[in-house]
Amino acid sequence: MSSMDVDPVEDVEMTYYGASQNEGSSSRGHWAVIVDDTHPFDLDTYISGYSGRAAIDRLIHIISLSPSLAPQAFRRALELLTAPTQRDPEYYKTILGTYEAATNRHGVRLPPLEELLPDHSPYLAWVEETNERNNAERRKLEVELKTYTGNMIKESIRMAYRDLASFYRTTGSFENSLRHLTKSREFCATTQDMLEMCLSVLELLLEQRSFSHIPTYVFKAESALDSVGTSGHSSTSLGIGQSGAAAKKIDLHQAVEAKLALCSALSHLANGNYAKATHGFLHPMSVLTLTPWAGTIVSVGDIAVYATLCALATLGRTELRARVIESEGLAGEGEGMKELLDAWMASNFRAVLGLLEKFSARHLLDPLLGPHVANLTALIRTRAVVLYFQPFATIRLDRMSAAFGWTVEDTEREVVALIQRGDIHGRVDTQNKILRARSTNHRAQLYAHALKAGAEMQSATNKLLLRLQLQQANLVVRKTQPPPAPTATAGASEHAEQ
Amino acid sequence: MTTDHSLPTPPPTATPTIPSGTAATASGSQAADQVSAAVAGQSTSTSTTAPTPSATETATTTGQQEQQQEQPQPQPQPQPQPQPQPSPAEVLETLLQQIVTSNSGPALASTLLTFLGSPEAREAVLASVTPGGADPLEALDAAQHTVGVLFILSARLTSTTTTAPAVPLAYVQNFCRHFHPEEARHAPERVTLLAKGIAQRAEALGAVGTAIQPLYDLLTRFSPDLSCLTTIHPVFVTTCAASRSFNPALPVLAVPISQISTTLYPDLRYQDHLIYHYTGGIILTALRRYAEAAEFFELCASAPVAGPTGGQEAAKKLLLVQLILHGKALPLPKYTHPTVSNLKGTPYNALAKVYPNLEQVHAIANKDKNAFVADDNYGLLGLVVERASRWAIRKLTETYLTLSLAEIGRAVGINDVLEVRKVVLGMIETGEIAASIDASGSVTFADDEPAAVSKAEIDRALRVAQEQEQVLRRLEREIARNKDYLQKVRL
Repeated sequence: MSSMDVDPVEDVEMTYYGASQNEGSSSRGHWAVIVDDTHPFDLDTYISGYSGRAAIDRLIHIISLSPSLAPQAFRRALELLTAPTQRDPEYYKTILGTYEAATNRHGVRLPPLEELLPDHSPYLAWVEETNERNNAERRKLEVELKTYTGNMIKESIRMAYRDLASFYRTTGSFENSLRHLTKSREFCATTQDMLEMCLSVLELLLEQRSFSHIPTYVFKAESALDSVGTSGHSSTSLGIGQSGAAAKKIDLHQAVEAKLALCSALSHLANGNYAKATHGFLHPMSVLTLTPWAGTIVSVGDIAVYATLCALATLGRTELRARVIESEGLAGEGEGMKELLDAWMASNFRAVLGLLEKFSARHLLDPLLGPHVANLTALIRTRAVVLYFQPFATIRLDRMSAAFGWTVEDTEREVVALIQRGDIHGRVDTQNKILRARSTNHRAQLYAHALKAGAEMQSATNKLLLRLQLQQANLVVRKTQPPPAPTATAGASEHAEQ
Repeated sequence: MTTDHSLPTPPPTATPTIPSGTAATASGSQAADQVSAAVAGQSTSTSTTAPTPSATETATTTGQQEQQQEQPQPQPQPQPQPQPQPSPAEVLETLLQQIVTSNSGPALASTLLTFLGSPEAREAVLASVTPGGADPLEALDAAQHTVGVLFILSARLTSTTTTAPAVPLAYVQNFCRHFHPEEARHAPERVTLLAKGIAQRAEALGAVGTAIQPLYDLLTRFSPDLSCLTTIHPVFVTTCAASRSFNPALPVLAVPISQISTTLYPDLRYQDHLIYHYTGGIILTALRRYAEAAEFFELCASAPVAGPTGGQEAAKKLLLVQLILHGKALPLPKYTHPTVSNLKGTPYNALAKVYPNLEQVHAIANKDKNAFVADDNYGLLGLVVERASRWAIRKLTETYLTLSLAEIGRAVGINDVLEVRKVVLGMIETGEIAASIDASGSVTFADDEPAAVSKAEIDRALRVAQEQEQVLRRLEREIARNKDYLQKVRL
């Protein structure tokens, strides 16, 4: 536990150890992620997978969680913010606020804001300028919308709403953006438009990490996709055409299905439903099918990490082999994930746990994966212990702890928890520190079970027959049941007390 | 028995308030008319009415019809002088004569029930003594005059105003031992009354226990089959529970109720079923026969219910018994009424949730003591709490092969090693766990192999299953023949 990747000031040992499902998410934000040599995290590599708002968003997340990376992330965020494509002046305040909050946090020492940013004036000028530009554009778009509404041109109205929504999105006004997208729905003439609207909403929801509405829009999009059918629309309107010649080969269906699978998977992940999330993540997807989301909303490398971890935590060995190792999905492509899978398939569980530990900082700093790292790790550990013990009839706990790199006490605690949850069929010999598999006499057990089941069935039948007779005789309780025989009750209770 | 005295019999109904006049219309017997006339002069208009066959037919709905038709028409017998206002004693005199001379149980039963005017008047007559001051019971024999004695005895035991001397216990015992069951079945309501009378009298005398033997005899001899619920069942078990002599109830409780017959026992009420199973459950609990007690409570809790009821007593006791028996609460059958089975928000549910965590169990037991006391469950709760550590140890055997006594104590929540040792030893002795303790204080749990099953056992189980299957098949055929069912299916 000494090499734990968490701030020692906080009581996080329990968080990490307890396999409890809610622990991870509830304690998020209460502790800082420490990045050091044993828990490497390359900010530049990580952030290069994202661009624009997604990158800034993740940098803000890192500022709030990792003291050692905060100054670097802060500078990067300001750099990205003033790039020509960005026009959200609100973000400036957010970045400053997050950094300040991080410096104020208990037990954390950070260079003060003044040191990092001695001169605010260029940024303030930028904010003012951007605000002016934004206002001008908003007025222009609103006038357009008014004109189209006056002319009652359905398609134009839809596009005006769409443009406004996208304007609001880039300026960080999500409620407005969502409202305009929803309004544009009334003016969707074709299912193609409908599909576009749904995907835009999903994009917005993913960016906002508000997962509760995702299933609704995924469902809507699926039905829209069904009715689009194989009519072979050009995919330009969905933004797929831009990515060049290769993209043209990508079928519209494949592209939309991959995006929808990703949305469902992410929403399941957010709800802690890892089995369903795995299913979604293992849907065939690639940079091509995910365009234009790849990079702006999600990074393909990170999805691969989610997929691999979820698969390890929920899939059996054979299923894992068939659906992950031998398939062409994303799983196994992320940073360090190939090694992880190889170690797992080689039953080198110590290496598996070591790799999980090594990448834990990176995983914890991921805004989507972070809250679930503890749960997923616990699930993978459980699976590992169960897999390890499977072939043994008896095993010494010290050998087992060597294989996992734990102390004997840790191993015993882990094993006992697993036995009590019914994951391992065995018993612990605490005196000799041996785990022994239960030897069951299946034949005798079967007979005993059959006899018991028979007796239970018979008793249930008799009770039902008696009930039938009571009802036939109309001996049915009608009013409030009278307290039956109070004297008798008192007598027996007293007797029992003796 | 000089003359045959038989009457067309109106059924003995559950409500003894039927006006005697209407029943008399079906009668051709002068003697009967004499009696009823002698009681209150009610029959002046009815004595002249001709017998109407339709009345007979509609009135005879019970199984006694066949018996009545087999009887040859009787000759009238000795005629007592009708008096305008006879005293109960004189009427009794007349009655006695009839009882002695009658040889038809059903006829006599209906005569006694219906021709004596209002219920109050009838009971007064039956509970009186003869003009000579003699006890009418002296003149009658339990076996020969079962119906007559039954009527008089039940009236005497339940009467509050009688001038007659108290019935000696020996007489009651004698009657219960020697009465003629077939005859008594012609007047099941009087048997109910007698049973209640015996219990009441014993209670009034402050010796409830004296009622057990006669009630036991009455119950076992009267009932053709102990698996058939009678009205005496609840009276008997209540008496046993009240006198806290639980063992005599065992032979009765050992036979599960499987038949309900309102033709044999027309005055059976739903309370009889509830009280019998509830009180039976309490007795079995007191005798520490928890498995059977659980069955009884479950029958009571899952009784068919129409409309909302408030009775959760049985469900509560069932839960406590299950905690003792299984270490956890089991769900009630699906057909249980939700208002009965829903214990959410009660300390019972809370208890079942934390059981067998010793600390939390104690906390609940202390915090909600009043609730348990109010339900008369505090004694039972004590047993439940006492068993908690045992269940916790049982759980440990599933996880561990060896543990030191101190470790067990830590896991269970007992600090004293000696105390742990005592509990573990007790459990080994009673066979709850298979384990051994060595000198250093480490406990080794053996594998709990399921007991080997012999061929005979399997054969027996198969036979029982086949019997059950036949019962069900027969029942299904019966339902398939049922007119109402067929009509419904056709629609």
